[in-house]
Amino acid sequence: MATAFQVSPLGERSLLLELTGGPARGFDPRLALVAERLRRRRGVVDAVPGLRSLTVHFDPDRVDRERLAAAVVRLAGSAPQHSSSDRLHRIPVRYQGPDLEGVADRLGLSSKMVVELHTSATYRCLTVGFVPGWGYLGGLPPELRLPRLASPRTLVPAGSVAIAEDMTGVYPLAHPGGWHLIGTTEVPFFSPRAAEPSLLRPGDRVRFHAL
Amino acid sequence: MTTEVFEVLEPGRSSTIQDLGRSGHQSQGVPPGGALDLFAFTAANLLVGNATSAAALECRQGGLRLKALRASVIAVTGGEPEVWINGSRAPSWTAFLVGPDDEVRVPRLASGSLFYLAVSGGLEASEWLGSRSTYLPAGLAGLAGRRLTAGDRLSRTVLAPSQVAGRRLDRTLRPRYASPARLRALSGPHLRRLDFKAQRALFEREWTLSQESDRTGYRFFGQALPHSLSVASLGACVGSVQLPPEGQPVLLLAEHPTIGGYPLVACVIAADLPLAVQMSAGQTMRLDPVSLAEADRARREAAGALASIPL
Repeated sequence: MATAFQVSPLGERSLLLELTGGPARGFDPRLALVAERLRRRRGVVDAVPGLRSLTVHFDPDRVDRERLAAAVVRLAGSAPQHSSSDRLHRIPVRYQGPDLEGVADRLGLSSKMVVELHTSATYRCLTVGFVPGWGYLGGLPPELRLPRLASPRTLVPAGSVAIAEDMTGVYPLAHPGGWHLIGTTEVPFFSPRAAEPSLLRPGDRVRFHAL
Repeated sequence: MTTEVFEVLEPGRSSTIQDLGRSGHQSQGVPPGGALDLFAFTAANLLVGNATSAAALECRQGGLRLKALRASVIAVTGGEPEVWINGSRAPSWTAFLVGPDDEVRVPRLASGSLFYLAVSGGLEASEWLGSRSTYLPAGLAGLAGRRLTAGDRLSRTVLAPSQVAGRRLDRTLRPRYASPARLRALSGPHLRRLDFKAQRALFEREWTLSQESDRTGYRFFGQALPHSLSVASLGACVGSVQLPPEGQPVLLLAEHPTIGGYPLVACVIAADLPLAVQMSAGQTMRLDPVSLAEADRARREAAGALASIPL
């Protein structure tokens, strides 16, 4: 993986580490690992992995911006490039979503084929964010790729299993959303009272199966 | 031990309990939350002798009416709230004593769109991830995870020092809330990916605040800057300015989606976020490019102004 790192300020209280070069889509385990290390550092308020970046929030009155930027690059450069996560979540799904037939039509497939394709893959959680508990799951079979809805729904029910572009995901709570809804699951992806409210962590693997 | 201090007669348009928010959980998708105008919020707490972490009411627009259930010291801060105790005007940005059965009203704001009401002792409310800030999308924390409604009772926690009535924060030490707003901003990491004309236009054009604005972000419109840039979804920050492909900027605020897929072209400096959030729909702003050094200086100046309120 020939990646380079670039750090720039994001406002006066955050830094953005971006990966340049290397594969455009794929899970980079270094981001979450470095985030975890940084969160323990004095003056760092939070560290948030993106798909190809890491955003670090800090208190500029407690830590020097330049020193922190240098530390971020150093940590990223020395982090192991293989994931240590081997968690696999098996998610049961009722494949009866409002967009299932529409998606099948657009792709020239039967609904049954859409379900078979969706359940055939092992997905990788690239990062968590957007809403609490939302995992961006990469690895959607290419036969299922569609752009997002032109007009997002104002409310998608919690537990909705959705696809868009080259990813799939499960809405952890009711929220506006622009992905195609192909099923529902009862597995909670967001448990506010749990020690870790998000079910998913970056690097986790996910498989779906039909009920 | 808690004590009921107020009964809500009218909640106003949108009133929630907020504090400094819950930082450190964005990698679980939980936004920091907390008060939108951190200067006014912090000032309100300090004026009534509270720790800055105490919870207070954040109210959008006027309309709040409360009945005091017992004596307490309160302060109301914000854009410029018009405060009444029974039939008389009371000063804003000042700690004052309210007696049992007194009615506290904030019918309107002379300017600005948000105000804070802090009670000596701090508001009691349920917590989530260490904060009493209301998280409306999941109905968590604050007052049962929702906005105030008529009939609600507000309680305070510990009794705080009482020798605070009369303290005020002079106007010269407050943010220069104004309309149109001039928002100092730093360049965002993706600004240079826009064509040069668009980069300049972002900072030269006047942007109008739309009605579709809330605690996740303020949406602006004007002469659009459309583009076809794509960025891999990334963690944003409060104050950052996103530019979706249609080219109308969005200012991300306390409850922003923690990960977003649009370029970040600018970031309003912390010292000027109060000016931004106090805007009302239809008002305009310009982004004014400044350096990191200026941003740091302005932030420290604002902290100094708050530090002038005695402990």
